[in-house]
Amino acid sequence: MGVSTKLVHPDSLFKNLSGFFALYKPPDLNLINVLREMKFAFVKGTNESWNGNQKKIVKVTDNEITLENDITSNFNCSGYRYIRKDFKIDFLHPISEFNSGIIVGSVNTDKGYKIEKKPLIKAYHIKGRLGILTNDNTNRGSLIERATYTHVNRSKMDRMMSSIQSVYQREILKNPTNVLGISEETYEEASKGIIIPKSTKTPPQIYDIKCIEFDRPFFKIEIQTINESESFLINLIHSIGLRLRTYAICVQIRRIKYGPIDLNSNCLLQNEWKEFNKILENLKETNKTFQIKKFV
Amino acid sequence: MVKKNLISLKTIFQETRAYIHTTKCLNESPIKIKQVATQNFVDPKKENFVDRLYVWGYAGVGALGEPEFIEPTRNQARVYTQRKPWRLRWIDKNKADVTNVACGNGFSLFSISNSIHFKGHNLFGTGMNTQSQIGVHEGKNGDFFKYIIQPVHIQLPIDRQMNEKFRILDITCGRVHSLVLTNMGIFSFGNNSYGQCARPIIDGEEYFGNRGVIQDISRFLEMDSSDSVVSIKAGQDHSVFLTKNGRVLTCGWAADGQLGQEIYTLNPIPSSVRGDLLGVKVKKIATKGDYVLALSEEGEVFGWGNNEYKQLSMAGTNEPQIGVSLHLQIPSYIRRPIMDISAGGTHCMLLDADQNVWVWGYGLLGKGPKCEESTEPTQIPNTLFGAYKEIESTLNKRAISVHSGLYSSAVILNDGNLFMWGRNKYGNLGIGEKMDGVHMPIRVNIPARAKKIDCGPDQTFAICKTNI
Repeated sequence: MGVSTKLVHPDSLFKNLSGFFALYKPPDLNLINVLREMKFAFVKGTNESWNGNQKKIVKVTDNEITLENDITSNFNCSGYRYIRKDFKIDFLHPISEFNSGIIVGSVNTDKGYKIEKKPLIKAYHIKGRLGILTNDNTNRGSLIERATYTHVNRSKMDRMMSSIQSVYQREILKNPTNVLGISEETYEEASKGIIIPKSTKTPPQIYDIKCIEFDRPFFKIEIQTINESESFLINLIHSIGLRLRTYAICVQIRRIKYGPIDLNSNCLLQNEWKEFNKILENLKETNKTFQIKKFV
Repeated sequence: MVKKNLISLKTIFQETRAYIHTTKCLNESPIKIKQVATQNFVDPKKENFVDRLYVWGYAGVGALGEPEFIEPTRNQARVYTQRKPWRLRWIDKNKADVTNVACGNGFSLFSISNSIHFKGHNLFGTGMNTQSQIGVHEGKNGDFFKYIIQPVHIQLPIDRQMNEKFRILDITCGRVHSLVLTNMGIFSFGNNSYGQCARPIIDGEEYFGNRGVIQDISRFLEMDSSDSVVSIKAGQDHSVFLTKNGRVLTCGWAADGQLGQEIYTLNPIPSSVRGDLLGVKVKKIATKGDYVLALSEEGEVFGWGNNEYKQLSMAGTNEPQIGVSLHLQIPSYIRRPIMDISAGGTHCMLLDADQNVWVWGYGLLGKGPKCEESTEPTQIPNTLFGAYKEIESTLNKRAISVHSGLYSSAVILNDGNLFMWGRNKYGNLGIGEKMDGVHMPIRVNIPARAKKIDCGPDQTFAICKTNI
């Protein structure tokens, strides 16, 4: 009599399995491969935990009553309960194959577009190389021209950073008529904190930019932006090179922050997104940080 | 050594070529080549810091020291207002270190050292010279120059000026007079009709073209033999001296009580301030308009002079003129000790122990268009200086020093950035925009690190440092 019985619907896990997860993508890995591996993990995990296949049939003969396994509910007969098409996975603000960093995705929800609508602060580590011009301004392209870069200095790099920042900081305060006018509203908005644009369709903003490492010909930049795109970041490195009177190409882009998610928060690594239990843990935490109820 | 370098250069070029090939396949850069490149090219100790002088504001009188603005050699229009920071090429040509800088009404002074063409410390000035504010300069025909559009050397009346021990310690400019503090005496020149040059007034004295205007005035100071002047500050028509023992001496025009000697006329001889300041050791003095602030070594603030805009109402009186130094009771929510202080035309600024900036007074305080006056200090939020709560890496941005001109204010941050606000009629904020009044701090785009700045009424000079 001590056995407690709990009635659980066999599909309850699948129905509750929705929300956001965060992962850290290494470079040279396409997101299609990530999606394939994650869907495999979902299918495997949900089917193993499904207890509907333990259905039993009561057989009554003349002498006794016996329980027998129902063959029709077995996977070998009926096929798997959940298949790949049941899981709808989307990646928000995806990054390209060659770059690495934090990516947030959604499973079985349509609320992802509400996050994509909202302008979030994203941080990047961008690595550049001086003295080279390629056709697409990255290290993948074919080399077009070389230039000298020995005149570039750490302090010249810092000057560039401060001049870029002052331009963007003033652009935030400008009116739609492109005139710098300070009203009481803009002052109060600016004194509270960052002025964040209301829509994602506005041009990209840079809130903080600084040079972290500088050992010629390589340099690394930390940048905090909103509404940026990958081509914007690549062109930024190219324009820095032109202003320093050399060429510069983008060698590496790494996203280190996506809205509330940092490198300190729980992110799935390459070996972890193949395990169903770790994905479930990650879903719980990231749903808390994004607070889905607010978005709904 | 040369041969070794050549060999290493060859290997580098070979390896960089290899690097380009490898990076096509690999996103991460190989570590080996990195180390080779750093050893040869980059040595942070070898980078040498160089002074730059950036100037902006009203250029019509020649106060910016750039002759190209007023007499352009190419087919260009004259520049009357330079709204963006302009690097003074004169400093680069002479390869000089700029030690001090000062701005007056239509003229400016700066002192240099270690230049190619001038040995030791030297004083230079540009701009309006109608009352011989920048010394006496004679032309070929025996005429004297009224307006000088490029820096000229100001000869002080001592023989040993080219001596190695000669040092210029501090310079200031008032409305029509200027003061120079050296280790061989204090010199003053310009208009002395109110006694602001710290020497007795002579009736009917002509200041323009008179070589006797430049004088050593250290003999007129009421001081002990062991004491000496440390810093000097000039207001509109008065001068303030701070000595090594912490005493404050004043002289000049006193209609608003800015001398602090219970006089409301004038006093040409520097004498000590009366009131609460007696027996207090003063660390810093600040004045620009017609009132004076003093910061003691214990971190207390004293003030005297004009109180029409309630700059000194924290002393407990609402009288328009305060003739005696009074102790300002600064509220307890400001953390002690107070680091820095500055006094403008109608507003004051203060830097507390947490390096936050506090403002009070009247005018463009930098707290939005609605906040026109406040009797008590109010803080300018650090978010306006670029320290955002949302981004952790920016939170260490703090102010180092505060400066104020007659109508404008400036703050230098610890990363060398400069923020300014106030009146911008002649572009003296360096923002580049045509705005008359700026109500909040805006970053000035200087491609160097700001170290020292002096805001005049129409122009601003800033000493900056960069690497070559």
